[in-house]
Amino acid sequence: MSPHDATPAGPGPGPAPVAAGAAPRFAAAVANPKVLRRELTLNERLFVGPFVKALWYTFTRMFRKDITRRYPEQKMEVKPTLHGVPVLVMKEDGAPRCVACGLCEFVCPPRAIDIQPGETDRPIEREPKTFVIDMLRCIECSYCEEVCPEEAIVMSTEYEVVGRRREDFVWDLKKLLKPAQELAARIAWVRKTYKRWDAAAEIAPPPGGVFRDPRWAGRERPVDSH
Amino acid sequence: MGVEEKFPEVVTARLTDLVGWARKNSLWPMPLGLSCCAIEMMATVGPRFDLSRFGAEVFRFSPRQSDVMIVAGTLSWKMAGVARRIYDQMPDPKWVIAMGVCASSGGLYRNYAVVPGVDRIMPVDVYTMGCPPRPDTLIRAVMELQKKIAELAIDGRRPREPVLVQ
Amino acid sequence: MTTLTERIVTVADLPQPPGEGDLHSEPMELSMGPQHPATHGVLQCKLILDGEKIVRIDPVMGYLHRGKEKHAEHMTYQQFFTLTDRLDYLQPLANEVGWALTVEKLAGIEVPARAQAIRTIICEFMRLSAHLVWAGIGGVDTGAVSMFMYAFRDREALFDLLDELTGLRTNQEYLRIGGVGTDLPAELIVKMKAWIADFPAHIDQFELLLTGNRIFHQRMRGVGQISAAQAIDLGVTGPCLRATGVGVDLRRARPYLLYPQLEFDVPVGTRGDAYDRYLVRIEEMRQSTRILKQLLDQLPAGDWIAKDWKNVLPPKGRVYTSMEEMIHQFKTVTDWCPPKGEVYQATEAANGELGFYLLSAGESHPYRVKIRSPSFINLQALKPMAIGAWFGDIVAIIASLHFIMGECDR
Ligand code: SF4
Ligand code: SF4
Ligand code: SF4
Repeated sequence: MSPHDATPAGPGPGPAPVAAGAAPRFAAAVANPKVLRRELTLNERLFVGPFVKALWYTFTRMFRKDITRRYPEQKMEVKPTLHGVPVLVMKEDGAPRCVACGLCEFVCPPRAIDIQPGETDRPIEREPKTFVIDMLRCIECSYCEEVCPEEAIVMSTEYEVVGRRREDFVWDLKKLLKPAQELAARIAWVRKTYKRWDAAAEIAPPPGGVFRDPRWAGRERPVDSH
Repeated sequence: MGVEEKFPEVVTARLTDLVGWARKNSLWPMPLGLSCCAIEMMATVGPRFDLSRFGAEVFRFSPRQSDVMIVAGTLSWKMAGVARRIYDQMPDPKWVIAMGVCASSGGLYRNYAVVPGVDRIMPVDVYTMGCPPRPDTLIRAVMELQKKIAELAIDGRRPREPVLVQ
Repeated sequence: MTTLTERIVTVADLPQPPGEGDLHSEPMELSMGPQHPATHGVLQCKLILDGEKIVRIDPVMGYLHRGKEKHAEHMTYQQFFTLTDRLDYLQPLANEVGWALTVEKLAGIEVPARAQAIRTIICEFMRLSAHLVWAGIGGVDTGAVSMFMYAFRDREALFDLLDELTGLRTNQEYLRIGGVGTDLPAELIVKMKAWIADFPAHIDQFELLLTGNRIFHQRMRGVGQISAAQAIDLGVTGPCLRATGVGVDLRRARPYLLYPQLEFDVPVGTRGDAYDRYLVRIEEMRQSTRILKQLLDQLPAGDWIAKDWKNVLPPKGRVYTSMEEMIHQFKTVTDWCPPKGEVYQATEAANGELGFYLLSAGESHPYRVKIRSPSFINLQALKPMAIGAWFGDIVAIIASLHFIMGECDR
């Protein structure tokens, strides 16, 4: 199968050759293309009229309201869709919600995430011993947020990260962990968006910002029947 | 009764402060626009963000007339020599802003073709995160650089002697 | 002891001044770029000039080679979207659409109507965004500096819309295999419509500044002219081909997405010079607004991502609670394998035919990806256009060809 066989080389609506020199090779050229070209009018060739008109146009712009946003004073309006830097969601007890499954580490296109998993004595046994995101690699694509099965990593609203040393951009757990209340808008957006086609899969946001399935109230971790 | 009591800020300001103030408010960038980030750099100069509010809108395409190089984009090894030559042609004191993750660390491209961070070939003063960084972030980087310049001694590369506070 | 020799210097020993007949100088070699404001990124042109005339031009590329095709062999199909974004960085989402269509063709995924409509909308927005940058930069290159401000004013307004939809200004990783990343909310549709209602008036203003301006006209007319046959031989596509009079537009010739149902004209030029390429692009902006108006008025309802449990990530609410969906999620992310085979899918990007050739060995990574980038192939036309032209015209030729080096070098 040659690559060109794979494309449906069907004629477009109204196939008819146009330019004489090109006709045989392009049977699918559009039937009635819009031909552009005009010569300059006398007024335009005399140059002064259009020139003054264009200058006048630019001149009038001076009295319009400008569209400049004066950045450090006037920040941009932050919407829940904004992709800032990815951060980790903290539970009420201060531990990360992350269970170190490594899915975000896998999916991250520039391989910015590095996780060392560890064990704890708490009901949710796994947690990251170290969780590092190199912000000078991260491209803010939000893939990690989309794949995380624990709603543990979300995009924050922080987007202006600059620094003088490369080491400052390697964020560890201490810097990454943010309380869930701060990220509530984005978490709500994640829940709404990534339920995709399945309206039934929507589960009301739990009070306090920590996810717990109502069906499994009282248990720390859902144990599935399978 | 000295002059400094009458004009405390003006007269007694150190020459270093004055030079630093003049330098930081008249940055002439040399845009090394390599790829996608260059478009956002243009947007920063454009009407919405207007870099000229920081005295840094005079983009000079000749390195000899500029004092800060904005490396905007992916630096490949083929381009690295050229970039270094441009840097060498800039007069001292000179500074470098690495705009975007590609210029800062190689970013998305961990492969044979891309320099893993322009700090491999030239000293970088301010790194910027984002792919591409929003114009806001670039402006913040320029502000950070201004802060840094104000802290420099008169030769422009050395930090000032620390002031002892009793 | 040294002996001194004495010699009388005569007039004949002096270098001869040029005579009447041979005023023309030697050919001069000149390197333009790779860091040059007019070469749109990092292209180096090695020129040989005879006075002001170009006798030879050798474009040197590869200064922005980022190894994307090789990178693709180590990335999953979803991850490769991040690299297609950065091909032609003036229209990231249009590149993503090309890759999504390629993968979906290989895997045989049905995309719901609403997702297709959203894809068509963003394709046209991206065409506008690319042409706006072209108008701004092309204006600067030919001396109309205020065009830059006007073009970027409109582009910022357009970016506000896309920012609200995708969360990023450029290089939005918005497409997913089987659909798009998020739905197009109703209030954003209202804003988009308002923008589109304003925009044709702004195009008129561009034309006021450029089309009828005699300086611009003389700068562009007759510059970089190629014939239709020449353009076809070189494989030139997109506005550069249509400027020569060949009305080939893949949106019509090999329809994809919702284009067969839409009404729009394909503008063509007559002479194939820089002025024609300018006119074609300006008219394409008008046609894009026309397409957008039709789409936004009748956006189909429904899912914005395919309801396809095998190929799309499962609903997130279920992933949290059910082990099956959790395993599904892991499996889809790490080990989503389309069938073996090879496909080629071309789309009409702002610069021409953007094609992806994909060879799959049935693994979670592509076996080979070849990108047919329009800029790379249009760049070949630089040689026939520039040879014999004046040196000052080279800037206008490069501006009107408008290749993007990110796409060219890949
Ligand atoms: S946002 Fe993208 S690049 Fe950044 S950490 Fe997440 S997956 Fe990696
Ligand atoms: S995907 Fe979520 S739970 Fe898994 S390691 Fe990443 S942050 Fe933790
Ligand atoms: S940081 Fe991102 S936007 Fe900037 S040059 Fe690199 S890939 Fe392009």
